[in-house]
Amino acid sequence: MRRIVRKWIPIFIAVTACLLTLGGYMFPQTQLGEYRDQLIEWAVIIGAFAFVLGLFNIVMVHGKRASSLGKGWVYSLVLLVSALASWVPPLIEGPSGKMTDKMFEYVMAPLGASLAALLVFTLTLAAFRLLRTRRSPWSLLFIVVVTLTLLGSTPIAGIEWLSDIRSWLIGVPGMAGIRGLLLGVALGTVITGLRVLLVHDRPYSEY
Amino acid sequence: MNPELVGVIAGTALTFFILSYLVGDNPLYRLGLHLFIGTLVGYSFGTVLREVVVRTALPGLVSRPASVGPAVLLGVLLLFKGFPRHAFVGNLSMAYLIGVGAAVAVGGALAGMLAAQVAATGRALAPASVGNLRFGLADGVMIVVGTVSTLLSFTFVRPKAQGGQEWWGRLLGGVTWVGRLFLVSALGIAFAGALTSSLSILIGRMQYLVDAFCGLAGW
Amino acid sequence: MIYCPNCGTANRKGSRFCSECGKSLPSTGTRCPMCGTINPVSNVYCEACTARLSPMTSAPEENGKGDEDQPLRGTPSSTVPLDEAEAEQTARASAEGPGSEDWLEALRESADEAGEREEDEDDGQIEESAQPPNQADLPDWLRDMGPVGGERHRSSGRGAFWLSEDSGEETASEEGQAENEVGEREDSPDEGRRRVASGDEGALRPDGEAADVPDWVADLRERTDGASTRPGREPSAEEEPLKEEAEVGHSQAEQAQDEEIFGERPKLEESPRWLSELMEEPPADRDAPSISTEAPPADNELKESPRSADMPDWMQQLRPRGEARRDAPRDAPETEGLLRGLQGLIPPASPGIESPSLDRASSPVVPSEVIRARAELLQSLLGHSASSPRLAVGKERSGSAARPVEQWLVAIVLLVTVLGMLLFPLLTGETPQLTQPGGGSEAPQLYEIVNALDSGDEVLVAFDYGPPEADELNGVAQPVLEHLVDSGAGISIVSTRPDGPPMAAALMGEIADSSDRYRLLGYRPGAGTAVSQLLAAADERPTLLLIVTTRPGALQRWVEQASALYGDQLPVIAVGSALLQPITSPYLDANAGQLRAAVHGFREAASYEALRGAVGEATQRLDALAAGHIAIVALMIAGAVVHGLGGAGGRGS
Repeated sequence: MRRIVRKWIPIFIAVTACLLTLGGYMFPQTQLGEYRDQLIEWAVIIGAFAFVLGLFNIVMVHGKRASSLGKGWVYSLVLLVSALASWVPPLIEGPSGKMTDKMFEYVMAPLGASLAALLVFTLTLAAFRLLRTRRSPWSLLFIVVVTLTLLGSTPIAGIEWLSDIRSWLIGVPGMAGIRGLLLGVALGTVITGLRVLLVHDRPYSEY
Repeated sequence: MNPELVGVIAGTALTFFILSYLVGDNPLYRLGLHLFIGTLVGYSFGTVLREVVVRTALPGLVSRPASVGPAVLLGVLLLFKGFPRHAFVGNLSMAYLIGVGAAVAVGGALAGMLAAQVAATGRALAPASVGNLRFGLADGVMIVVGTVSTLLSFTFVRPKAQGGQEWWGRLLGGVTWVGRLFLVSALGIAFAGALTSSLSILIGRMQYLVDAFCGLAGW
Repeated sequence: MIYCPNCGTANRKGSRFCSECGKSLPSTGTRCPMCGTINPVSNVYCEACTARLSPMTSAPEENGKGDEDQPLRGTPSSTVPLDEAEAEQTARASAEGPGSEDWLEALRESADEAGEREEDEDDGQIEESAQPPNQADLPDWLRDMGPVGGERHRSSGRGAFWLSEDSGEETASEEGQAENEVGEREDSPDEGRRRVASGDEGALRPDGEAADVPDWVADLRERTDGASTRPGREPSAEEEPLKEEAEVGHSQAEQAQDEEIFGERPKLEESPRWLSELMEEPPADRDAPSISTEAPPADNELKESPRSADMPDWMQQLRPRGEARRDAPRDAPETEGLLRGLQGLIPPASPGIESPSLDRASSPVVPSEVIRARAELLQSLLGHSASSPRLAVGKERSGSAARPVEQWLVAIVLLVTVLGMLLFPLLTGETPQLTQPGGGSEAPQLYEIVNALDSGDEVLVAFDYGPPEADELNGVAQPVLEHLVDSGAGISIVSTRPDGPPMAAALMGEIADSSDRYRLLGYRPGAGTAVSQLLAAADERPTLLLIVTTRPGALQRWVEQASALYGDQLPVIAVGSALLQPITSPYLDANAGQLRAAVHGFREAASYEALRGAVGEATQRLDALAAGHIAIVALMIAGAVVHGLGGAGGRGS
């Protein structure tokens, strides 16, 4: 019984949901199309519970650290206090409320944007040190492409022709490379999905 | 004190907290980081409660319980994942999520990506398409060769070179080399895009600081 | 499945951290001591570097335990994916089977006694599992080697039986299971040898007379014969106390020796033992050799060790308890190669976890003079290398010292450039005009599409960005959204990010004179699922889909789902960051037709502003962007010259 509950019922649910939803994509004009929409709507609601569960996990981890006065407990306390203070405005006012707006403008936007701005220093340093860590013709090609793309994206007076080179780089070799990548990703997605459908992968099961 | 002014000062200070990482990892940076995560977590929690639970699930339970009830039930079961001893109960909901998620991903990849992009690659050599390219047929050939070779360059298994199959190994090696050429070009373009994007954000932050100082100084 | 020792959560096999509490999980593989690769526990050699994963033991354990739960050294292991639970059930089923031999009867009695608690919890499973194993699943070589009767059943199934012992189902049952395993091992001392003896004699013979016995096996047997234990010989009852006395006496001597070495210098405790020994100057009057060949400290020494107090909780839980401690992995001395006779150089696998090979202590190997000389040479080399290779150390120091300088250089150049370009108009009243908008952008096409909208059209806007990207994307999206509002089309805003709707509300609040001009439909969790739901749940099919995002994944999901659900009946346009441009290019390809037009970054947005006859954020920041690009390119070329011509390290490819 235990095995049925823990192994076979989840498998049945996953395969059935997967087949019905996939059938809705294949035959959208039939009843399967409606099933697909219904199943996806359920998945969104369940996804909300999963989201809440994930948030609770963060709170629990930091709560444990703060209560045990472990290393970095002050930061965990800050995280907890800020989390406790910031969930009420969106619940009451929604995304366009005044409190929510101020919270975004004066707290989240400065912090988030500053974090994202740090990326440019990291990337530039990586480019600066590229030949130190990896010296090969590929690295040289990489540097040339990056240089042409950067200078071509905002060409200063006198080198406007770089803009055309950049457009060609993005439109022909760049597009071919990215398309190859995306096709590879899509193939990988299909294979992963089929493994779930064929019960070769059971990430939802302990068995 | 004017609340707007307090807000601007707070925003400026928090910007400096994070940018202080340029000097090195320090308590101010960590403080700002945890404050950001905490605020985001709290905000996200409130938003999910409002958007999904309060505005969708609860009214749905009243108006059309047969349609929303199973989802809410599975959602509640999912919360058992928070208790290790009873985590297996939540696997039912996980199975459902993974099943639907896999189907959505496969459907999107098949119908929305593979079919369209494979067809587009095939059409790259068509006269109508070639006419729009800067270097005509050469560009079309480059698109086809680049796409195929990039895809093949991810082949991790190469057949053993035995006797007459050596040519196949060499061919595959050559294709991989060409694919790498396109891949490096594509990654270089993506890297440049990331640089431009993060530089734009840095400019926005600096503009914010300049505006804040000008405002505080009364310029 | 790996159970977290901290919270008990079941984690997927191969996980390194607990999905529940984030604590590190004990490794279920064997870490290669040479390259660090995690190998399956059944591997004898590393898959990456072919290094031996465990020291070769020279003889069965003193207490008579043979190789009953250990794969034969050097024989290939099963590569069939292991399903722990089924393997465990198969193992139990064979123990319950009618064809058991005598030793299996004894094994069953002890196993039933020790594992009673577990069976109470999971009796149904045992009933189910009492099925004959599928012999077809056995590889030929294993079937040939396998023993008769019930033991053969133990080897069958999807995994090797020695691996199945660690397949617990619930944390609560693990302790009972561990005791069960101990019972099995102690009550079946000759299991492995019987298995070998009853198997195909051509494969392996206990007397070693077969012609096809490999050299290393012969070598192993010779050394085994040289030691006190012999294959197939159980220790007699009289010998047991003697052995225990010897062990206790031995460990007392070692304890005294450790106190002599470590007691006065507590700092040495932080170093690995072998390293401590290398750091210690050998005392002149010491009789013991500088390289220890003795067995590791006894159990009581472990208990009293002050180091145990420093162990984290999860590690405390992993410590073997009760009888299992007698089987705790010990630092077996190396029995071959340059390190022969040394112990503790190759760390054993983590205790209590799937560790089939190190669960027994072999009899100590007495090193010959040649071996000892090699060890002394190795020790001198190790001691020498810490001080002499100035070149390598200097190189590393120069690299680590240069890094902060480079960091500062990059930070200062970028900050000065950007701030200079932003302050320049304020200080001088002039705009530098380094670059111009436009140039091969999709902005005109996008402009035409939006321009063609009228008040009867419905536009679905996917607002998938948050505060981190707002400094760029607000400026890029603003002219397009202004144009959209001016067109009079109905605007519905959705997001798959919780922080998307407030960004939309803030930006649209600046653009639209009234909130009636747009509808905020809110946020949906679930990535691709949410996209599909938002597209399918729209009241009426939108005329146009506008994606505003910075993330390739989000763009990909929206484009793919729109194509899958509506084909080419729903035109899609995009406004994105500069980061997104290469990703959109395949979709923008006219042959694909999945994306009609897109605007990326400040320059194309400035081009859109120019088409609208306005000067917005994008245009104002264009000069700073151009100057920043020049600074980055200059730094990159300078770095390439410095590191490319400077002769500093770097890998060939």
